[in-house]
Amino acid sequence: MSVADSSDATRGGREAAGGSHFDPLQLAVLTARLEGIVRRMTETLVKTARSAVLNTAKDCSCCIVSHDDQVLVSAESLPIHVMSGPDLMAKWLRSYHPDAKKGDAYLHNSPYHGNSHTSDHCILVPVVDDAGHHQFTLMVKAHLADVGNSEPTTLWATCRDMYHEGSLVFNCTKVQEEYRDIDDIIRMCQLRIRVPEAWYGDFLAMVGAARIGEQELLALGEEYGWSRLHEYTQAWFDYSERQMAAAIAEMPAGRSEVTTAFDPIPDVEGAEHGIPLRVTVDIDPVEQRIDVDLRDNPDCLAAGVNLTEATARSAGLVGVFNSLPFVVPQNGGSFRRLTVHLRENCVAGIPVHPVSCSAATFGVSCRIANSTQRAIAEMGTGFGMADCASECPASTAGISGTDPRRNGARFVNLMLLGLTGGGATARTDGWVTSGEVGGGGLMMRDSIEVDELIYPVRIWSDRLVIDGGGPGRHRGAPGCFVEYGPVSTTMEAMWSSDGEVTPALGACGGFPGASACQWLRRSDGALEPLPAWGGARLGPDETVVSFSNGGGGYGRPWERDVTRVEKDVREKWVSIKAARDIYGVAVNEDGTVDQDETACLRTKLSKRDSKPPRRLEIADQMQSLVDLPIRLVDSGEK
Amino acid sequence: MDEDAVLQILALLRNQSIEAIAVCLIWSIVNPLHELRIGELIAQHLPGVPFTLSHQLNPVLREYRRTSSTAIDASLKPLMGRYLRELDGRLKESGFGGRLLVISTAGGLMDPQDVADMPILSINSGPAVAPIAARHYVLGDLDHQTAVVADTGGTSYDVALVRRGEIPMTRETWLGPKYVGHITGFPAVDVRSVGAGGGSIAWVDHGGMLHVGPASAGAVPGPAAYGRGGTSPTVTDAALVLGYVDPEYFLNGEMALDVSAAQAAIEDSVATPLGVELLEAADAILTLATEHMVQAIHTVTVEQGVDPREAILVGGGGAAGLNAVPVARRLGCTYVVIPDVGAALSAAGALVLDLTAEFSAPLFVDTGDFDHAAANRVMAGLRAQCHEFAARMDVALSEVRIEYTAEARYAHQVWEIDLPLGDNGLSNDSDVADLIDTFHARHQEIFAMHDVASDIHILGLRARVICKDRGEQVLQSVAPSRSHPTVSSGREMYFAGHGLLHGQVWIMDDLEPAKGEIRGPGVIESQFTTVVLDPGTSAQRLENGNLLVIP
Repeated sequence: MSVADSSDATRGGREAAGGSHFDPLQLAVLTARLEGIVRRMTETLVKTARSAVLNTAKDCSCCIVSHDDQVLVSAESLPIHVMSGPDLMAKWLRSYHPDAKKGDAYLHNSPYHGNSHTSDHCILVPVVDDAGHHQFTLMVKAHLADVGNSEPTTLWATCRDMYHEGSLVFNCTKVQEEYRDIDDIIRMCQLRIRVPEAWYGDFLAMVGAARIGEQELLALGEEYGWSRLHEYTQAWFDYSERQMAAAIAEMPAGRSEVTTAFDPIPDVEGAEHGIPLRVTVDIDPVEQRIDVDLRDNPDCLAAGVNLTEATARSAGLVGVFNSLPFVVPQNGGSFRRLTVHLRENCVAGIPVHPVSCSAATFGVSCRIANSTQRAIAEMGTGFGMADCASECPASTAGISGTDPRRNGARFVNLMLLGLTGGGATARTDGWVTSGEVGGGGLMMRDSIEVDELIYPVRIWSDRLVIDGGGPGRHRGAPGCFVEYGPVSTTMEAMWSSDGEVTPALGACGGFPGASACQWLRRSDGALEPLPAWGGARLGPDETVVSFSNGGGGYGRPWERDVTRVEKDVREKWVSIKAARDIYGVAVNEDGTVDQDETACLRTKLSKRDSKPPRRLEIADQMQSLVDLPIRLVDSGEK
Repeated sequence: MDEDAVLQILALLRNQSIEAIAVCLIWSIVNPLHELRIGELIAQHLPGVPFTLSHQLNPVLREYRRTSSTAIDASLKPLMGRYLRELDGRLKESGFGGRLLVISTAGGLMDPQDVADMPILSINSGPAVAPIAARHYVLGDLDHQTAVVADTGGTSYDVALVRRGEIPMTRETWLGPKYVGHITGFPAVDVRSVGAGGGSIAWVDHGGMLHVGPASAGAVPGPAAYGRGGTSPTVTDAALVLGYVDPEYFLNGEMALDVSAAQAAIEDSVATPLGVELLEAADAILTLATEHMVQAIHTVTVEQGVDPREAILVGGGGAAGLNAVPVARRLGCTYVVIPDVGAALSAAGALVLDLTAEFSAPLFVDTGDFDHAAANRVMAGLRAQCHEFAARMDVALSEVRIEYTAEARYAHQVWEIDLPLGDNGLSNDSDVADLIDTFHARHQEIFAMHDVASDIHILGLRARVICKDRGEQVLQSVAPSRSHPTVSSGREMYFAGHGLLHGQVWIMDDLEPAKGEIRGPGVIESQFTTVVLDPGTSAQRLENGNLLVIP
């Protein structure tokens, strides 16, 4: 067993910064300029991309990497994409292409070389000055609708290895030279990737975004001089490190260890009963350091759930950043104070070729990020938060098939519906539309109308689930009930859903959110359970019924403010029954609260003071949603 | 539709004393029958409760933004309906014999009844007028037809554009911060605001980095120099400390400023924590405010495909002149114009607006297999709506103009760009060919790439009807009462890279139009604003009273 220490990568940067005295007045100005550049890159990508997963859901990120291969600026990017990874990829690029030229662009998606997972294609552009020196690296990352896997999915928890997964894997492969495409590579992609014209549109959007960043950085270098920009970089890192140190100094000292489990995957050796996961967090406010240890976790599995080095480290960092007392910039400087301990050949560590990491941005990485923030919450001083919903419910399926409205043209996309379920904190209820924890709330839900316009699919239902949020002093956000199916055609839908057996857990006595599950509704109305891993081939009158996780609660439910519970009932976040049984609040049919009975109920509940349940049972609520007469209206006619 | 369920909901709403109702159903833009029926049921069962139906208000694709529009609109109806009725009544009582008109977000004038029916159209309408005013009062006399129009107030900096004589619109307008606030979902003049005005507060964080804004001292307590209890340094304090603002002649001398209070605030909150000299700290505050303004301008120019180097910077609002020159230098603009109407730019703009209304309709066609008949039907419907509006406005039809726009994107994209259409619409193949060419060119202009192999999808058409109801208005600033004591011989001013220099002071009203050039370093003072001329900058007053600055 070899141990890799993530702080190794950053120490060089720290020493180089020693003694630099950068004008503190220019620090803010240059930071605003660089953040502006990254925002314009992101804007270009989102507005010009062709797949809904990019142009609507915004499952993409842009980043500037410093001269010494540290993450410098990543405004509005998804944390799981950029906290760690761009640094590693820039380093690989430099080692494979020490002579990179202006006008080059490189295609990269190797999970063994700093990328998040193969379904995220990256365009790496070296910013090369007129003298031929490689000054910065730009990364544009996009989760593509398809990457040519052997099955039409881009998040595949059950594939055996990368050969079974099947996509083309690029490792810093040159795809543009002198600002022109290298057509050999384009043709390879067009033969392998489903719906190649949509892929090429997305590729153009990514390259366009990178080129906009390149133009602006070259102009900035011209204006300030490159050495001055590198001095700025070190000063910005030093500043960010000081901010991180100040934040940690306010946090409690100690160690917290929590466990969770990724749900069982049938037929995968070592995962039949779930994958037990353990996260240990050490906070040292005196030395102002936080260590997250992920090494005590199982070895890599013959499935697509393994993390990549980038996602394992990012997941730990996401959990820490979600728990800080104030906002600290996310870059190579603030990361100096944080160490995420990883080991090779570990399911939450560094993967070894040819294991598959197809689902590395979701699943286990969500579990790690959630457990890290929950470990900090369990230290009990108001920092940290409960688990956010585990993700990839069946409402976020990869859907594919042919479209009878467009002469049988093939379509494929990752649909993103039902992403809710924020975890609660010591101060707030869960953020309803937060989505999975690694996205930092930045991903967008699909528009139902846009999905239905572009794909032959109908979304029959998309509703929040009453009682679905984890009860607590602060309540987790509820999950969603989504039902969808093909229109006048057949359709394949594939997903890898976690959170059916072990839901999003609460913190400090908070209850878990409701569990995820999914069924197939036959044309005669009969419901059949569907597996959490895999999917369904749907006939013209069949639908998938999907429940997504609610977020975990924070603190004991019977300590929740009574007026908040009253409002929860009025607005249908919580049923009258759950208000009584779980929160100890007696709400009458007319919405008023019986104060005497409430006091009595709460005394009883607090005396019992048992541990929170492992699962939140809301079968009645789920049944009432499933029973809704959705087919009463057909084709918009009364 | 399950009418019993609707009735149950209405009964519930009655019990909760609901004031207004928003109705938005999926795909109501294609088939509005159910929304209309719900409207009937509300009128029948909750008479007098105002409601908004999404397909009538804003028939656009995407249920989130349509719902957001509908909810905002409905929520404004009780208040705005009351307000407009009372306003009209009180004006008549006071003997007002003219016609009351209301400014819209889209930069037009509307009848108060139309605004009461669709109050969302009046949101944030003030800043929307600034570019219209700039086009009229500034560009009218210059060769340039592209301008960045910046309106600097006490708390915010609002940026809008004039692009080749046109005023770009957006559908991405938010109440409050993007994503965290609420999208209006309506076409509006594209105005971006950043929290960088005269009252924006400068502060240094734990890690030793300077910030300016977004918090503002506002008017009360205001900048430290106001002496109203404010102790936080602001952009105005920095300008005072740098010698740009005359403490005796602020706001036409109506308010004396306390220089030592401004100095103390900057010393304590910025200079000491950063370990720099007072003047450097004050300069840094202004420089950082400049950078925030430049970023706001970049955001809107990049998204609208305008190169700021080809634009004139028009500075309106009281604090515009403090750093208009450094903003223009950062952007590479050749000219800055400070209009004579100055601080009242938006209000002056209202005088040149026309009665306008905008209508939209979905149209799903693509260039691969174009359905001319469908396009003609939608065009005809929009044309009829425009004429119906014009007829109601009671102006002669000869004064009515209609502008058509298509919303289009490449196949598989989801974000549309707007393309102008002729009166002919898309009735034949050559119209469509023109549209295709325009689309590729526009996409290249905005996003630095285009894709000739891709089909273009049209999602909808819009029509804007413009009714001119009077002749051109001429507005000139009323000659101010001179309150400036004497023409000062100048004072010390600090400029980065130069240090303390002797700067001249000119009085705006003393600068005769079209007579010679003046050169910085120095400041031009008027009763509304101070225009700082950095070393190397020249300026002259134009015939129309505007000030032209060459940065």
